[in-house]
Order: sequence, then structure tokens, then C-alpha cells
Amino acid sequence: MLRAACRCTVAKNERAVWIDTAGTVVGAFWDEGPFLIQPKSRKDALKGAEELLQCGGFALVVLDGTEPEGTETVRLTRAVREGGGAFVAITPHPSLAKLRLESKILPHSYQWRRGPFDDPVDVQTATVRVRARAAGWNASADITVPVTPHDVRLSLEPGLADRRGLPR
Amino acid sequence: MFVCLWSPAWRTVADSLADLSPALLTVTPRVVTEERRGGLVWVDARGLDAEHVARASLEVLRGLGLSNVHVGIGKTAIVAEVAAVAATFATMAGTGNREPGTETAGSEQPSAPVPGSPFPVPESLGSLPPSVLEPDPHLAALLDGIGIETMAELAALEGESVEVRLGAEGVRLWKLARGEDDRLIFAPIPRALPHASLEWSDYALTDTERLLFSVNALLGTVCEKLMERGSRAREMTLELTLASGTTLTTPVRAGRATASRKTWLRLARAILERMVLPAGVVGLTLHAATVVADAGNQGDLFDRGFATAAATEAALASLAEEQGDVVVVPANTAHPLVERRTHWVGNGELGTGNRGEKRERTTRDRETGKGEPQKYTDRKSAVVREVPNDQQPASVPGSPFLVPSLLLPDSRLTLYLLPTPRAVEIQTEQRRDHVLPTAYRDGGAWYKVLSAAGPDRVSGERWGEAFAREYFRCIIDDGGMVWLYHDARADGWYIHGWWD
Repeated sequence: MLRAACRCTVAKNERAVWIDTAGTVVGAFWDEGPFLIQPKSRKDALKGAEELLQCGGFALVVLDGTEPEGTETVRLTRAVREGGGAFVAITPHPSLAKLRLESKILPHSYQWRRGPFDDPVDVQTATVRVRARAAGWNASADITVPVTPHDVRLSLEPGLADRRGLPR
Repeated sequence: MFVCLWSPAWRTVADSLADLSPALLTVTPRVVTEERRGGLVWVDARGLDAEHVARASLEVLRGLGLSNVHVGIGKTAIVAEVAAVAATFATMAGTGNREPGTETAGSEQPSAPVPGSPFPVPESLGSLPPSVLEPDPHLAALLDGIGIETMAELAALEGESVEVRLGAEGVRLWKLARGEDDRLIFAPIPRALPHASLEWSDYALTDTERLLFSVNALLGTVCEKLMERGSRAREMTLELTLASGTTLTTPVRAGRATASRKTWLRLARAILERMVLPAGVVGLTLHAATVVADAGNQGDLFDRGFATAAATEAALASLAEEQGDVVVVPANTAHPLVERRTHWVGNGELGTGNRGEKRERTTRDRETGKGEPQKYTDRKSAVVREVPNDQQPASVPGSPFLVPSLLLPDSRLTLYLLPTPRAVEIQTEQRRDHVLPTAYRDGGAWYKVLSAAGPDRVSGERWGEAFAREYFRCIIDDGGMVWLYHDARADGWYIHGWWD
């Protein structure tokens, strides 16, 4: 969802940045557009987020893998006000947030493509329940989203074309 | 004007031509020697009184004992060169009225304009044979064959016919005969890079904080010079002259080339704060070591981010200086393992404030907005997405532009990876030819697997770091989808990632 928000921001000719502190973003599935920053430490991530928010050039800054605490949250909030952008922190402690979003994938909502033996082969879609809360507002919605295949490459040396299954 | 000095006597002293340069440099600021024609000495008289320079040069050479020196003056190098050697050729051809050994000055001779040529060529030079231009023997034979006996006759030909009949070498010779010469005899003088220095003798500074004040003053001068010449520095050198007589040289590097005094002061402060001075400082010099042109990017008035491009660039530059290349882009390979497939590379160009994500629109049916779904192509990724008809751009009355009504990139669950796969405890059940995970324990908690797809078997790298894995996509009871794998070589289970 957040990555879609980043892409949407870029599609509107504004800048978005994703700060990936934990290094969980998979390069093969990263879409061009938003800036991707991989800081080396938690402190670097927070300093970078503050600087990027303050500069005012980014419409959306997403901080992933680092949970700001106490005074750090206050500093980041001030930076957001100075810069005028939007800041998203992925954290279970959403203090000082104007808008709190929770999302959860519904366990039995996955749509599988099944194989010849009725085994699950590929996930097609899943439904995400999103709950949004702000001052005086509380709403939720179920959104069905497609699932990116994991692009597995079986038992091949890199650089070799996969010709298995082709008619001889 | 070019002044060319030539003497038949130099044929024996060609190797020592360079020895003439120091003496001639008292007359003119630039002297170049060439070994062609037995030795040519070029004197740069551009912006000076050429005749005066020529006479002064001859006097200097006479002082060195060289009397048989010819001098040629011309607006182009070839005119000066031919004028200098013309006397000998004229004598050889029997057309000249000058004795060898007399001084020849091209500018003193009456000039005749060659039709179509921007440069006047002295009339006497036009009567010289084309061999004065040193054509190759094959071309000389061709010229002889078509009856070209003088340079004037060659210059009077049409360029097209010369190109057709004599080829590229003929065109080069034809241009020289017309006085057109684009040779770069004198290379451009490299401009000195901006620098500033300060020295004091009454005391020696040992406090780096006080030193920073001086650095700030010097930075003002250097950055101002950089901006005057429209360039930015990528690296500066800070030289501290110590009371002990030694010099301490420290490079100051910026993540991105800049002429901002504020940025350089911040970098200099960071270096000085960490510096331990072995002795007091009595002098300070600041050089711009690496300078690049300040090539600005073309702005787009309709680009909402254009106004903040400079601020963004500054912020990213600051980030790069403090943390290194943290702004990254993936460089993907075809490796079977996802974690080895990507190599993150720092992208220095991303911070220029020029965002390359502008979309290229292809409209199939502009008139009606109906028909097949339109395609929106991302210029870089070349990903073409089908946009449903109800989300097609709508035309605004009176406007020639189409306004995208809904161009939201689609949300989707995407794989995220743990930095390193984490070992988990697992419960499995037997299937036809494999085991399927039914629950796993991670971080002290058990997660029940509701459904699982797999195995996707991956193996390879026989000669390197071999791997053999069986991957499973598992839906767990809290709704998440995780990526587990069984390491067939180590017989262990790991959680590798999740979809979010």
C-alpha cells in the first residue's frame, strides 16, 4: 500500500522517498520512481528522515525498519511541519500521528490458483482490511489486492536460458 | 596573428630547437616548436603587434648567432608557414625575386582574396607550386596530371569537384591553398583553479576553532571565484603550513560538486574538529582541486517539483556527505537466489532534482475516449499497464490536454526479505514426494500454517557456494504470507521473507 502511495506520488510529479533501514526491500521487485535510501544505522535513518523532511522537496517520506521514540518523534514531527510533506513511520506506537492506519491481511481471503492435483500453486489475490483513525474519524475498508509472484528460478545457473519444457 | 620562423640552417640543429624557446619567450608569451620542414618555430603574436614581435624575434635569434632565418606572418598558421618557407620555394621554382637568406614577412605582401575563402592569401604565395603544402606523392602526381601548377590555381577550383576528383586529402590541401587552416598550434591555456591563501608570522595557531575563521574567509574567496567562472568544486585541498616548516595537506571532499560556501565550511569544520595538529599553524592555503562545470538542468515550468529541486539536491548531497552512497538503485542479475540477485549501487545522479519518472502517454483514441484500453508507458522501466476505460484521461473543454482522471499505481502484496534468513523450528506433514510445513516457531511463538504452496526447488553453484533449497509460500493464522525454505544440504528450515 505504501509503495503504491510512493509510486502515486511520483506519478503526480512529486518526490517520494523510502528509507529502508532493515534492508528488507527486494531489488528485483523495486519499481523505479521513488528514491530508495538504505542507511547503515538507526541513527542515520532518523537523521536522514529529518533532513529530507525539512528540505521540503519530498511529498512523502516513508521510514521503514526504524521506530522513532519519544523526542525523536517530536523532532520528526517538527521537521514535517517545516517541510510541509507527509511522513509515514511504520511503528506500533503511533503517537503524535495525525492519521493512524492499521492493516491486516484476512487469513482466509487468499485466492489460490490450483494445480492438477488441487494443490495450491499460486496466490492470485488477498484481501487487506485497512482501518484508518484520525481525530473524530474512524473508518475501515476491505481492499482486495493482487499478489506479486516471487519469481522463483529453479536450478539454473545464472545466465543460462531456461529451455526446459520447450518442444524438441 | 601567427608568426612562423624557419631557417634552412636548422636542418642540422633541429634537435636543439627547443633551446631557442627560452630566448624567444622574452619576446612573446608562447613559443611552440615543430620538427616539420626541418624545424619550425611558432611565436604567438595574437593580440600583439605581429610585425614588432617578428622583428624582435629575429633580433633575439641573431643574438644567438642565427642569421639565416626567415619569418612569416599570417592570420592563419598555413599562411605564416608558407610565407616563412616561400623564399626557398620561390628560388627553387625560379619565380621569386628574393634571395635566400632575406627576411620575408607575409603581412607586408599585398594580399588577394580567394573567392569563398575567409582568409586573404598574399599574392606572391599564390604563385608558389602546390608542393609547398607538402602533398603526398600520389596526390602531387594527380595535381600534376590535371595541370594544377600553382596554389592559386588549386584554390580557384570548386570544393565539390576537388572532393570528387582528389578525395579527402585533396580537400585538405585545397583548404590550405585557400589559407584555411584549423590546426591548433597553441593549445588553450588551462585556467588556474581558484585558490586562496593566508599567512601570518607573529603567532602560531594551535586551536582548530580559530583556524576555522581563516578557512571561512578563504572559502569566501574560492567559492566566489568558482561561481564567477560558472563551476563547482568536487574536492578542495586544505594546506596548513606548520611552524616546524612542514606542510599538512588534507583533502576536503563533497558528495556532490558544489560552490556553496556553507557546504564547504561544514565539511571543513568536520575535518578540522577531528584534526590533531602536530605544531602551530602559520599559514593556510585552500585550493579547489577538482572542478566541474556548473551544468544546470533544463527546468520544466509544469513540474511541481522544479521549485524544490535545489533544496532536494542540497538535502541529498548532505546525506551523501554524511552517510556515503545511501541513495541506491538495484542492479539485478539473473541469479536464482533472490538475495544474491540484487546488487545495490549508489546513484549519484538521482539527486540532481531532475526526476526521470515522467510518463509517456500513448493515446489510441483521443477523439472519443472510447475503444481499446489505453497504454501508459513508463519511459525507464518500459512497463506497460492497461488502464481500464473508466479511468481513461478525460478531455477538458477548451483545453488541448488530456487530464488523467485516475492514474494510481496499483497496490499489490510484494515480497520483502529478511537481511539474513532466520532459522525456525518446524512441524511438517508428509505429502507425495515431499514434506509440507504445518506450523513453525519463530521468536518463541508458534504460527499455524493454514495453507502452503510448494516446494519450489532451487539449486546451483556446483563450483561455488552451493545451495539447494525447497521454498514454500505459507499462509499463517495471523493472515500473513511468509516464505519458508528447507535447506536440503544443511537439513534446516528457515524463514526468508514475507509478503506485505
